[in-house]
Amino acid sequence: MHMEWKSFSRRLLVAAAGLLLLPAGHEAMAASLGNANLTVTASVTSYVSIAFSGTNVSSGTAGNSSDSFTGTATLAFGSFNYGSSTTSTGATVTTGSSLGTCASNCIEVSQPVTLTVTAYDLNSTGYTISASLATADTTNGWALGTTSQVLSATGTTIAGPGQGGSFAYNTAEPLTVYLAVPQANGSSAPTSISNTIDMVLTAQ
Amino acid sequence: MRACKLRQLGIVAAILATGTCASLAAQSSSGTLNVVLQNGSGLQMVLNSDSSGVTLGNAGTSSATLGFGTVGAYGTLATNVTRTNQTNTFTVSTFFDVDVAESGLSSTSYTLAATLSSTAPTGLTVQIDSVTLSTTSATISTSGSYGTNVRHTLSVVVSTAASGSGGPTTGTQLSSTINLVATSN
Repeated sequence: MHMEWKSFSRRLLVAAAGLLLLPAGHEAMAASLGNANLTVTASVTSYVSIAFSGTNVSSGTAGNSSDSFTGTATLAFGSFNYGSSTTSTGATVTTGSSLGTCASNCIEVSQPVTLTVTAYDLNSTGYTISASLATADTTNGWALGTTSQVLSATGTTIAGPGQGGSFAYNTAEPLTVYLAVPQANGSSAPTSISNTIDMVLTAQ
Repeated sequence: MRACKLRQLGIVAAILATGTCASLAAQSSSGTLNVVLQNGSGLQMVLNSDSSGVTLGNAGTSSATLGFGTVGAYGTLATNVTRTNQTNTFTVSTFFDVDVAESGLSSTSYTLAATLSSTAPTGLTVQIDSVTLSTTSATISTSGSYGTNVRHTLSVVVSTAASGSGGPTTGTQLSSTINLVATSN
């Protein structure tokens, strides 16, 4: 009986010691710190933006490079007369044309346009351009970049300054638009000329 | 002689004790046991979704996830994710809440610090409240209030360079873990 009490007493002492130690240890461990982890995830996708600029050019739009998209702009040549050096909007007018699309006298109107393609997170060193007319024009001649790059309803490759005829991202690339209008004696002057140049940009 | 007296006293004591037990058998006795529970002091931090932020995974715990989804310089973003475009970078941001509870402390505020568990993926910079995070602890705030959701802005600055030129790997999920530590002031 005495031994049992002694044993119980020892256990009690141990338990008491534990009670004393546990709060003290607990307090020391978590005295002033709280921790948390926040795992952040994201998936980055590529984009490009297209912007046309220049005199008589409206602003373009931006789109997703991974989808089919269209950047649009409008170039207004204004009105012009035979013998004038500029159009009503300031585009250059030249008598005669080097496009080779006129059988007789031509008036050639030209206007520099700047194309800027900005790449975002895109693994590409440059892009190429293929241009075509949305509507075939058997009367007037159209060219882009140089007068030798005559446009038709099928695609024409537009040579760029980079390797393989590519154009550079994040760079303002000049692309002059040429329009050759034939002037024939006795024929009535066209009231207006309109067309759309479709430019397909392909990342290299 | 002395031993004999002690033995006699022991016998007397035993008799008294026996008699006492017998005489008190029908009576009650009482005692007092004092039990003391000492509440450990410390801080507990949980992460919660903000009403204007993306919904956290495991919200209300100390180990949460925050997904920005697919991000790009243009295009649609996930709900409650905003974007600003800068030269050569764009930044996506959202809100999350930190709730720090204190117990047994006389502290009235806490300091919040953050560390990345490892270097951020190439092309990405992680920020909380515009403080850029790294594997070295950075102080986010020094006056956090206990017992309430404190809103913080989590931002990821994304380089627009191509991968291999300092930009991020595209088309795959990138991940970074932030270790947050609240210290009582």
